[in-house]
Amino acid sequence: MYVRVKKIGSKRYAYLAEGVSKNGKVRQKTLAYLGPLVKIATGVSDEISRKVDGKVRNVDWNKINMDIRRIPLDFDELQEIKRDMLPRVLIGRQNRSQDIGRGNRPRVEGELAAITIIARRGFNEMFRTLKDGTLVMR
Amino acid sequence: MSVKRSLSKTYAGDLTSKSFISMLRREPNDLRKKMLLLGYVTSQLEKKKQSIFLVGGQAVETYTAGQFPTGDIDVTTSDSATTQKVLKSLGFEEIGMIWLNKPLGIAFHIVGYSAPERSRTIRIGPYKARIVGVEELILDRLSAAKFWNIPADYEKAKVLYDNFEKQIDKEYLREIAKKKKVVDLLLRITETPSPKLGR
Repeated sequence: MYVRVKKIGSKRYAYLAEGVSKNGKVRQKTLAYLGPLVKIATGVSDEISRKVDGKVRNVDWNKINMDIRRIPLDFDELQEIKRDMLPRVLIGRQNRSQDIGRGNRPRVEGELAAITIIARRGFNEMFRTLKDGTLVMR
Repeated sequence: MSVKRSLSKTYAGDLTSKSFISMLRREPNDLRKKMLLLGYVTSQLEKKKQSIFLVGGQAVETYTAGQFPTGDIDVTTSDSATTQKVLKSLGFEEIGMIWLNKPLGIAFHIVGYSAPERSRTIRIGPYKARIVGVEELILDRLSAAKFWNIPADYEKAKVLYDNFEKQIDKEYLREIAKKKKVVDLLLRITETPSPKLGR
């Protein structure tokens, strides 16, 4: 399974595709539409991945997101991303959001696992658990 | 002398709200400050045979040791009027639905009146606070992720599940997940391994 980019007019769009062998020839089969490249340039959002998961099984989103991030962007696409991100960054800063500038960008590979480990260590440092489940704050 | 002992000593005796707050201001750790405050409010309510439980975002923050910070302290209480009276005595002001203590920088939000089905006790110095059980918190986050379309809440549920997997009552979790129609997300959580944790 891989990411296929099609240029339609002046814009590029990303699709989830796979190679299908037929009569000794390998053809590309489009499995799902992922969105305009500028919208998913940092990775596919949870909303899109959930929709695709409903249609296509066993998608390795870590690999797909890494593939997307390796696609070189041209100047116009970078400008469009900048225009798109700016209002969200500003809103985030105004709200003093904990996710400033993160927008809908999915977490990078290993980020959630790292948070899990840090949370576990922090919890164990902060609390002692008694046999009856009572937590004693240190 | 351990921190626990020194906390018990510092906050020992039947403190007035004024002396409690003046001591609380000196507490450098934000989470401990909130837990002490909740413990004090709990002690005042329990004197009147009432209860208060930590739920929502602050419960997630507590179980994840601050990895998912929140704004206010969400609580459910069996007696809203007495809770408000205690908060007022501690210098909290009512702003809309929130009770805010400006000098402490802490806000309470009374979100409901029913006690969680399963809760745990947190001992903090001489006080005891009650916190919603991890199972209910996971289900609550999964419901928010599914029906309120808040993907970040799925992540919280996943981190909670991974870190408390051994303590979780999985049968209860599945049963309630069915009732709340979040079995699909629960399955996704349980079937997605956390490789770095060796699962």
